[in-house]
Amino acid sequence: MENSGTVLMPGGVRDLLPAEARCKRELENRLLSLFASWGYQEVVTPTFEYYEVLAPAMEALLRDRLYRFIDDRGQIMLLRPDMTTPIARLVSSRLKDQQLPQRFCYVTNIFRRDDQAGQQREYYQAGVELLGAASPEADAEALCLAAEALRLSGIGSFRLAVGQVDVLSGILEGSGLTGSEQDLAKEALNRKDLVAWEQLVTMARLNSAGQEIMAALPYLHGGIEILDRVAGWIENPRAREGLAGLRQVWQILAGCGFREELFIDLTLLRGLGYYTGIVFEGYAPGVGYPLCGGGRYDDLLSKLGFSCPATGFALSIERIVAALERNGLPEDGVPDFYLIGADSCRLFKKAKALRESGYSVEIAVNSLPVAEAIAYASRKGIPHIVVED
Amino acid sequence: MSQAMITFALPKGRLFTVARSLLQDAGLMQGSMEESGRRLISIDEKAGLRYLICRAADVPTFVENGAADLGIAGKDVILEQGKEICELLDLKAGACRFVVAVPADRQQDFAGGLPGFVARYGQLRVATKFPRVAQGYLYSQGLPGEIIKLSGIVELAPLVGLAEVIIDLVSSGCTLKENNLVAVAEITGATARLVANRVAYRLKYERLAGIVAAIKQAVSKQAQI
Repeated sequence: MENSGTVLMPGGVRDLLPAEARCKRELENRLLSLFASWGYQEVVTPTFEYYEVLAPAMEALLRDRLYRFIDDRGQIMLLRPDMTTPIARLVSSRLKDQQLPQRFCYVTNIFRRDDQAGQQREYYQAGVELLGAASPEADAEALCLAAEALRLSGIGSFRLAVGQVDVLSGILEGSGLTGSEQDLAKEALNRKDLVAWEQLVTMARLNSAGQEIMAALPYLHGGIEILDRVAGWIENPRAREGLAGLRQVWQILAGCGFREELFIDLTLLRGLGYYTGIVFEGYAPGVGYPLCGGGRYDDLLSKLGFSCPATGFALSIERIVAALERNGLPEDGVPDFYLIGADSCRLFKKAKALRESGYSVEIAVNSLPVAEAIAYASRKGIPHIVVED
Repeated sequence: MSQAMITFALPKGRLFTVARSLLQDAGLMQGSMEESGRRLISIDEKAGLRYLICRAADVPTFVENGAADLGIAGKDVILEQGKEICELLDLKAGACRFVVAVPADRQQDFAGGLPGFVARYGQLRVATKFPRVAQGYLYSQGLPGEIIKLSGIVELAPLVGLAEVIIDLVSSGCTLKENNLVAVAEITGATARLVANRVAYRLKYERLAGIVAAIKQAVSKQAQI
């Protein structure tokens, strides 16, 4: 498309120029080697897949934001809106006979429809999936790796909020709310609508202990003492088990030096009906959106025909890059050498030797007069300019 | 100090005085602040607060992006925009209602409510400034209908045959009356809300908790008057 001589681009997608692309690539490389050091292997899945295979396994909100198209054989396709579902599909179709647990990581772009014109539609994510382990140790591994990733990213200080959906359900049940009130309460928390929450608490017929629990719950925020406080509110065995798991995860993370970064927030939900245990989100000061998010999703793989517990998280590459850029973009990349000369065979040979010694080398290829070639290289800030006669 | 600075987005227009008086009563704002000053940002170093004054409809946007930590916005704007923000407090002020209104001389057509009208006339065109709220209402009622988005003076639409009904925000109902319209259904009430960025809410929790508690107290104090 052209318009008054300008080449148009669709809204919600963007170019990355060299400095930013470099910042992104360096971050991705650091993350991939971190993931590898924890035993995660990179996988790549197709950009588009069958809609009818993947969509039913997705959370409703994600399904609403799918890009779909009909291919030349009349099949409905989707552009991947995350990597968790394709990896679950990969494992349940091709790797289910392998021994568990399996650890996979990825760095990729994903696509989600916008609500408003111009909103972002292509996103970059790095993440891991740990499949086939339901233990608190597996949760602790995901959380600890997320914390290491945020630390390594270079954004400076960060915090991780941790919740547990079974514990929340157990507290709501124990407070005396009816089944439908519990659902409404979760919806209000998921929308982060504390006004609706308070209205619900006022309307519900709760005894004074129940009232007290409900009034306090949205404001519980802190360390392991929170878990001690809610222990008395829970009877449901699944919730008690969740609480014990959360405690163990906390201890492991504290032992790894993340006591300051971690805080408990039992109202954290990250959607309804998708996560089945621990959920978490990572934040950094001055960035208005979470930088990472994840948790346990034990029901997803069974929707794809292979019942298998799983946990994982995704980091938002562009949000981390944006946070890094506030401290200034890196300089544009400049090679170490610039070679000028009439004998191109000699130039290429010399360049090859220099590159093999670890230098980056640019060759003058546009047959400018030597003086102009030197001027180009000095404007670019190339430290070594070599003129071969 | 800049680390602890909390940015507060305040709405121009009818909610500005509501917001100012609550912040003053809460002891957060010393002295007065003018709505229509030249300054877009004012800083209260002592209280560690920074105020942005923006269009009421833009408060959720500033807050969602984290350009502001806290904001005061009407529930009407929050419902219409569906942004990812935390709604912390009902400020119990600036009350208004979303209603379905029709021309008074066609009121008898709506004796059976909107479903009755749709059953008889087959179509329902709704003029509104709030397409999301209107669509949500029609959907919840199982009604087919066409939403016609206007930017203002929605009352005009039924008078000139652009739509059969309007969905609009009313506070006193005077504008409806002046244009010979009557409300045939109420959708929901809307008051001013204290909202927060979802990251600020979890990251600057201690600071925000104090501010929220002070405003909550001011709300109940004003309710008693």
